[in-house]
Amino acid sequence: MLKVPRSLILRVVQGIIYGGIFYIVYVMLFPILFRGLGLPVEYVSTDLVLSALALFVGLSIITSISRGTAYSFVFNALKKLLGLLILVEVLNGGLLSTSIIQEGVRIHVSLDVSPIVYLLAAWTLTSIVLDAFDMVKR
Amino acid sequence: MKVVAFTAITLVFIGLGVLLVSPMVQFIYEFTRNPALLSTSISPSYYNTTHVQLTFKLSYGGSVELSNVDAEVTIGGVRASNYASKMLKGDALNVTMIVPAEVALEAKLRAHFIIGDVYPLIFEVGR
Repeated sequence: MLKVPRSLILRVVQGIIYGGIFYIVYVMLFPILFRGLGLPVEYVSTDLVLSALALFVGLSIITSISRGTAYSFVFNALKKLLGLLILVEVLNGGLLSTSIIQEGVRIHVSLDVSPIVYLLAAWTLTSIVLDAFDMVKR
Repeated sequence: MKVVAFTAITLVFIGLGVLLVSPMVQFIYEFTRNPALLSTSISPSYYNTTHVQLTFKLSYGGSVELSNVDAEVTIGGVRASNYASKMLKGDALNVTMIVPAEVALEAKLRAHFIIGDVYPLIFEVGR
């Protein structure tokens, strides 16, 4: 019978946990935060939710298994870029709009929140650069 | 070391984010509590037997400064606009136009401004 090393199982479990954390942060917490700020953001579609969960967990498992190699950095960066992509999708590329009917008159409001998108992109890229420095240092 | 650096950078970005979103959050909060924060009104007056003079008033009652306020009214292919470099609480911007009486009810107002010098917003009122 094929014996799987215990350390490998631990890394896979660790990857699943990290993937779950990324999923909760990017797909659940950030949209809740945006709605809490009063932004008219749409709910993430079911297809995207399932794809994001699968991709986050898959990328996290590969990152965890390949820890200490350049592949780990690449897949970790991909995971962070995927998170950024989801946030850009949630914020509709930075242009949010909503319509309300008030006393029979339609009021349409469009708000450009691209400064928030730029800030999130800067945060993501900075953390990737930090990972790169860490990898080079090793 | 990496965790410390990541935490420090995240805290810096959270600080920047709070500074960046505060004018928008304040505007949205005030607007959702009081939709009349940004209100429009029309004052018609007699011009001649076929035309009326309409004055559109865009009033603002919020505490966040609005800049580059551009209000444009379109009625039956006729356009008129007015501009204010900034609007504070209690300020109003008027757009006056003379139109044929039969199209006076087809007005569409479009206001464009920037919240706290950061967030462009387009506000459209029309049937």
